[in-house]
Amino acid sequence: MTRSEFERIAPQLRAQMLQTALDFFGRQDDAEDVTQDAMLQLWRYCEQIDGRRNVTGLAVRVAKNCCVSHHRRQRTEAGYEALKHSADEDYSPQQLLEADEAQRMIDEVLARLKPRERELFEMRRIEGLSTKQIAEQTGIAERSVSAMVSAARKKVFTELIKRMKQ
Amino acid sequence: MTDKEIQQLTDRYLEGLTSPDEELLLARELQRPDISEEWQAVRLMLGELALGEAEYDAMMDRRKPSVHRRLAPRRRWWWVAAAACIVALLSLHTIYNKKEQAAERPVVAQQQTVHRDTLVKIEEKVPTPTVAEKKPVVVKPSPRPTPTTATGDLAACIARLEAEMANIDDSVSAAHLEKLIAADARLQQLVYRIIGKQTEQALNELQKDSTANYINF
Repeated sequence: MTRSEFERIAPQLRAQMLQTALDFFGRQDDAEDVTQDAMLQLWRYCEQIDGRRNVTGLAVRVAKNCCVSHHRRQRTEAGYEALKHSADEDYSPQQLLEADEAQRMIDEVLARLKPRERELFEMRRIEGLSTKQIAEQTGIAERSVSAMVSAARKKVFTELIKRMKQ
Repeated sequence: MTDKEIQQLTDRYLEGLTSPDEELLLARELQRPDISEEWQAVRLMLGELALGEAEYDAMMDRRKPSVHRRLAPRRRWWWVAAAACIVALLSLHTIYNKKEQAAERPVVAQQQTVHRDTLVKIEEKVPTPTVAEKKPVVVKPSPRPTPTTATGDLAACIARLEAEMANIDDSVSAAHLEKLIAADARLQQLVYRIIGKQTEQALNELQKDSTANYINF
């Protein structure tokens, strides 16, 4: 998706993200902050996907994700005993390293998938589309979508387990 | 979810058979600590967006019961209000019935204060004077009010009827009273029962006079 394509649909997406955040926080100021972060994240995702895709579902997912992250930060700042460090210290340094390692690992594994397999895998993983929606957007039969998604998942799973055991 | 159910869902996920909602459920379940490497791999495959969305939905779900708790007292309040309305209606109904009974009683009592000649005049207009003559007490047993209530009601009604009877010489008032008595068989029976012998005596005297003379009177 190009920047101009994104900017054209941005107001509509922003409204949906703001509503998601308002439902969660019930306060306009928090919701506005989260929506701002969510728009930036959404643009990063949209850069990687086809401009003809309907990204409404993705926008809501990203907004929900940002709501949870913002909520964690607030709890941390409020000085809760269990989370009394910084915003990025919901996890211990070791856990953060492990998380980074895990992310790097899955990125490498996904890079080994065939382009079509990766596209279908990511449509499900990132955009949260159903098999039917993927079939509609790609023109592939539903049964074939399921089979290709399954094949991609099994490849990724096997490779991840192999790397974890090393 | 049990471990077995999570494993079944994991298997379906790998087969590409899960729906987006099932995958969110799986993401929710796999956020628990100390899970196997296989489940860690699946959690990684589900991705941060699914995990965040699952957490968002879980938090929103946890808030729902508190909304119900806030609404519940309101619902109970409506029931209390409805119950109060029913009680109020029943009370009004009871009061209305008492007033109706009170409206019957005073006429009975009033007969005791009516002059004999007036009483005779009234009794003559009652539809079944001969029945009363033969059977002074032909009253079916009726529920008696409690003594205190009856006394209070009776006194009030007597006072009211006395005021009305002050104009008994007025033909319109007399006709109205006669109409009241004639319209209610139960009232007639009560009149006969209460005034008892006085009525009998009045009727006996009435028999001595000719009907024509009485009408002229």
